[in-house]
Amino acid sequence: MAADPPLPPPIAAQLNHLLTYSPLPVKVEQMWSGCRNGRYCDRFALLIPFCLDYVKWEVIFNAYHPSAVPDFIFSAEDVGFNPLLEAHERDANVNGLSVMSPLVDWNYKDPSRLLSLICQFRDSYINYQKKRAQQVDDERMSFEISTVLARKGTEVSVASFPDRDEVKFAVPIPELEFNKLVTPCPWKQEQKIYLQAFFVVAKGYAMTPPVPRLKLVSTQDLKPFLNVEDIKLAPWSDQMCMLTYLSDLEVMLNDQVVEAVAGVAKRRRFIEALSPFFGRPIEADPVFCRRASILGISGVFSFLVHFSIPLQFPNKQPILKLESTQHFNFNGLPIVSSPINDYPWSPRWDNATMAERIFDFLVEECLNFKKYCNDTIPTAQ
Amino acid sequence: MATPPPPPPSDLSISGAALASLLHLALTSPSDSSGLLGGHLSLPSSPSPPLSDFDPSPSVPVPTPSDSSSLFITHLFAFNSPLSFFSSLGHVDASLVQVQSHFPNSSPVGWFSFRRSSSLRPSMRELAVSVSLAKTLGSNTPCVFLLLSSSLSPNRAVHTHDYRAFLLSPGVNPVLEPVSLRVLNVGPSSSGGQYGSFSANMSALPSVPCVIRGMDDANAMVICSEGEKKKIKKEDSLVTLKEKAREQKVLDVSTEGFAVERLEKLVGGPANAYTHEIEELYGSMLRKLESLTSQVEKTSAVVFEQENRNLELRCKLAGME
Repeated sequence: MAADPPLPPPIAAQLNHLLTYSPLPVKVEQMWSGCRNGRYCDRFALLIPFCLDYVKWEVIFNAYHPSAVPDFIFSAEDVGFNPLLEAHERDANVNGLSVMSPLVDWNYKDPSRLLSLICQFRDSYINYQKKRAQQVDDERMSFEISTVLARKGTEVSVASFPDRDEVKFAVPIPELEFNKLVTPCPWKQEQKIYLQAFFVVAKGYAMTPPVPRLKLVSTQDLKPFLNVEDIKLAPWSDQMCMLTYLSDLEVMLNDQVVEAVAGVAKRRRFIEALSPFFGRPIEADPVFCRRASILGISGVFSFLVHFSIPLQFPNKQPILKLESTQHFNFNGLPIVSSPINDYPWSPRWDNATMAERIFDFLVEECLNFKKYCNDTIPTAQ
Repeated sequence: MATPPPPPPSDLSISGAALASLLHLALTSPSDSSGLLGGHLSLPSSPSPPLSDFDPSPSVPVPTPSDSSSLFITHLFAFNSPLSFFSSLGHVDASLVQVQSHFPNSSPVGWFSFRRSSSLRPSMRELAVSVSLAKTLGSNTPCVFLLLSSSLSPNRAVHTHDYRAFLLSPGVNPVLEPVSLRVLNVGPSSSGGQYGSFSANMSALPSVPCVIRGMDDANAMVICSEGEKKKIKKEDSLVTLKEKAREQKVLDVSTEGFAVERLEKLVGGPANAYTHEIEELYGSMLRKLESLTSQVEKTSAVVFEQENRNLELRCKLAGME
């Protein structure tokens, strides 16, 4: 497929600024041209993160008038969403400062305008979905919405079907300030854990109140520190409401985070304990201490040992991988052993013992690995 | 006293020529464009008479007079810039709409927007413009929005043109409702006289007044004889007279050799003797046509060049080189 034609420089500057400085991870799904000669791209589809999902907005620029304000096409389900009309109404009421300032004094030479426009539209979109959620005709839902929506940062989205409404909440768990807990802070964006609650509300008369499907979701970069998929959620009972559930969850998550911070320290001490036996690691992950590589020498055979240390360390043992520095396969890549995690291990050993036992194990294992390398090496040599 | 707004028209139609002109505009415009639509609203009491030349066969749908009104789009006026009669916020410039929409025998009924390869859904600004335009037009006129889009197949061999018509349904949450658009062409289903009412009005020529020589001179004589009081008026009329004389000269050039006296000879008994005359007339007409086409060709080339120059300047201004 041929590469897309380029964006005109003023539009490219706007888009780059948006992608670099956006507080939320905005993605470009597609980019294409609206000119007759197709020389420049001037429209693109943006995926805007919303309620743990994405909404797709088309941004329509005009390559021949790059100084003109862009137009937006929102997704087909959001027919009622139009921030411009809302602004018209507010202007008529307030009569004064316009709310849509990036649109009014659009300046194509200032690359930050598109970002501020998208942020404003996203805010109005959150409000639009909140309003829709409040219109869902269910007593239980109205109660949940009135209590949960007051929490800062909560987002809700509604999908309407002929027989049911699907209401999805994304509630951020506050007071877990990862960016302060982990030093040095490795994240550019703020890390969060959300509780996703998914209600299906049948239209008409329903015997039982809707029971939510619950799931913990975290930002992607949090994975090497704390994997929320490993956390077991407490079951939902009929007498519960989301607010009580959330307060229990917060306590539980706080414990998990404290544990995760302690886990980092444990892994760091383990990596430090490796050096008396293996020498200083040639590479190690200094922040989460999930990975370390050391260089081993047995006679004339030298090889690398990659340690990948699980989050549940020391209950689960590190996974070892041996990589030869002298043997290469057909593609010119070094020969690597399969992951090894069945060597002798006890979580009750201290770090020095652990390192020593691994050293003892590797003294024998490296001979097997050398033999394996010699066997698999291309015979043409 | 506030009257309730009339029900939306149940039938929306466009003449084939108007739609073809819109599609041509879409095909030739370098980027997005928009403009105003003119047409007329026929009320339920006056259904248009069907053509009498055709036997209405049962298989052909004939528009039946119904309870609600029907809207017929006949004219269009295209602007050649993205923000034409509205602002970036979607506010319509009412004065511009009034000036630009002097369609003969019709009134502005809505607007159209063309944007190449994009979703066939109204955008944020398009809805805002429709709402604002509906306010400008008044509550008695419906507001039509015609959205056009075109796309190319990857090998640029197939051009696809799409259009969709919307009617603004006003209220607290105004929405553009998609409606079906009937294309009226000449044929059994066309109702009387509507097809011919199209005029593109895209490049209106200056109107050349048609005056009969001699009569105007007499008027001028009268003004002169009325003395000093009307001196100023006389000077005015002298200017207009000069103007008219100049225009008359232009007209004379194009009608050269077609004097009425000469044409008179072609009628009646002695006409047989003048076949030679007819052939000569015909030949000179062809020559005239030829010179006209070459003139059109030259001017079109100049216009095209100028447009390209404008485009380059705009690109330079935006830093695209």
